[in-house]
Amino acid sequence: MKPRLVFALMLAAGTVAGCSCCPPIAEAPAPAPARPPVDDGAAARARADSIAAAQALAARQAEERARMARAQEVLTAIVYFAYDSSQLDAPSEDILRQKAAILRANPSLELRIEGHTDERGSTEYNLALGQRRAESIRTFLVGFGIPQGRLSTISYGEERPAVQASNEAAWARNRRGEFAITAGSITTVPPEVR
Amino acid sequence: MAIRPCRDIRPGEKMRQIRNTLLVMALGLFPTLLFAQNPPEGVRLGLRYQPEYLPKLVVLPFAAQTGAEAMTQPVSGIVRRDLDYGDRFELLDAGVGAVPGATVNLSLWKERGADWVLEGELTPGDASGSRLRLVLHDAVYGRVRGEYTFALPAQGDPGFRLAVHAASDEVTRWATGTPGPASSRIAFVLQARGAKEMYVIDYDGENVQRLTNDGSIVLSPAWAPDGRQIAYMSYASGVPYLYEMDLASGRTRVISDRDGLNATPDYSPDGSLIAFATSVAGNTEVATIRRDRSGGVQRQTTGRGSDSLSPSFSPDGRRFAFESNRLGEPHIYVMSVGGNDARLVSDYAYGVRSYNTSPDWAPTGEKIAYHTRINDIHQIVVVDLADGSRRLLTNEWWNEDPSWGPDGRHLVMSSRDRDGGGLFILDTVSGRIRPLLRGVGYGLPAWSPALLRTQSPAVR
Repeated sequence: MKPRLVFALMLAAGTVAGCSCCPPIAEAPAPAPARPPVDDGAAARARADSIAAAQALAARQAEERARMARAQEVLTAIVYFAYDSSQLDAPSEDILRQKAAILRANPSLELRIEGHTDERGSTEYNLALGQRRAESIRTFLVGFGIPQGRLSTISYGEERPAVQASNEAAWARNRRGEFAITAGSITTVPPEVR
Repeated sequence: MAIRPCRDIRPGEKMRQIRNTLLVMALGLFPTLLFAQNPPEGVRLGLRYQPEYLPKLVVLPFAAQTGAEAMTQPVSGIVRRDLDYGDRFELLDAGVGAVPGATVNLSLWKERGADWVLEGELTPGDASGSRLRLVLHDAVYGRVRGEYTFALPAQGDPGFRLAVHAASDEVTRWATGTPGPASSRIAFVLQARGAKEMYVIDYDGENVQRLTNDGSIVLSPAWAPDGRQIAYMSYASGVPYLYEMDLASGRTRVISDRDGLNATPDYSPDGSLIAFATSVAGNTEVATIRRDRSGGVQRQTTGRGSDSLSPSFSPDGRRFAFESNRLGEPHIYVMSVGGNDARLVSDYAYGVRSYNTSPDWAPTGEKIAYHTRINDIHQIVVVDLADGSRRLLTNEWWNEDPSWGPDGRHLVMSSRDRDGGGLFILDTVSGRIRPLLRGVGYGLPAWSPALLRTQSPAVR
């Protein structure tokens, strides 16, 4: 779907429903006309049609909002790594393919990829390991056609754990790549996002 | 968290010693025996330190000319403690009968077991300072081994303790031929309230000073060879850049702000270059940059899909040690600056997991300290480059990130759980360990070069 089309749709929905934050129009009908209607049947039909159209729009709008939220979730979804490894596993690659689709559909979007490690290695070595994880993610996304210039990388090594604990469960959550949107926003949700 | 320097160490008090002497660490002969393979369950790796005869030294009560009496206690206290911490002497008690300024009876001290007798006298000096005259007697041969009058700033002056430390180091040089490590400081990072800031402390646990206050993460401090600047990595701008701080003015400047990683700086011994780790084509490589930032960045290592970092220059500045995972797991290598001759110096056995990182080249010669992993715990190792032999220096608690003192004999290390954790100083000859700072969150210590040397005339 083209961004312009989405914008037109939102504009239309806004005109009919008032604004996107208000309840659907079906629950708040327009005030009755002052003059008595000439043809009760035709007026009622026209009114029912417009209500149905508004409802359909509102439903589509709600669905679009849900897809947007889902796309946002996918774009910032964390990927995890094995111990002392920067290899991407199958679930991570699946998430990254969806991220790549969102980035392709929204050319203004730019991402910062943050590489993190668990606490077990050496502080300095973990800086390089975190950087390698971020680079591994970037290389994958570039392979799916995303220009390198839209993807910055940073390593935090072991300095920013997601979970403050010294056990395997915590370490597994801390060996990760995180994503932050540094420019643009999602306006188009590609079909790849499920 | 408050800084708690360990001032509870009294002069003369014997430090904790490594007790286990189970196994001779002839690692040059059995290179894979102890490091590459984890020992069987229930077997502890033993350490064997050289049994060393410590000459006995007595510090007589210092005398004072009129106007300098108040200085005798603080000055002699620092000197005594320096000579104790240097681990080159066993200090004898001067006894209650010793009278300041009395004629030294060397034969008496010889009978009481002393090898060295140190006399001190304080006189008021220029302005508010004082002068310290030290005389070191050789009790065995009955003659003066060294004597000199040191100028000391006023007691409240920031340079006061350093000047006394430099005098102590000179006494050590008179007796042993090499100066002690006392006129030095140690930089480190401390994690507190979600941030890591950089601090510096005197080698004896005095004068803690906070250097950064960014609420960010500071890592890997490294001293310039003249001790006036410290290079370090900081996320203060949001991304990891290298900075240099001038200690006198507190001013900082950017050393490297390349895309990706800028980490683990080290100064060349002549101060002209800084080696560091930076991102090159998706890898982390060791590179050098001129300190005045002219001439651009020179890549030194070629990892081909691996990472190389944590450079540490040799004393002649022609080589450097670094860590690299080019064999899969991190190991220690040595190579020439501008060369292509990386040579593995940590222990490697095909198919055996190992982990060796954080090399630090001794300022005095062909020794590199690093930490290895044994049974998932980090321990300190020193490799002697002359014969390739390796010695395990610790086997209790978690010990990492060693940094040599200016004497090339002591190391400062971070010990996560030893006596509540903190920074500790290890004598690599005797195995004596003393706490520098106790508590949680201390890391990446970097011991300065000698900050003040007072060269007295040649030793007699």
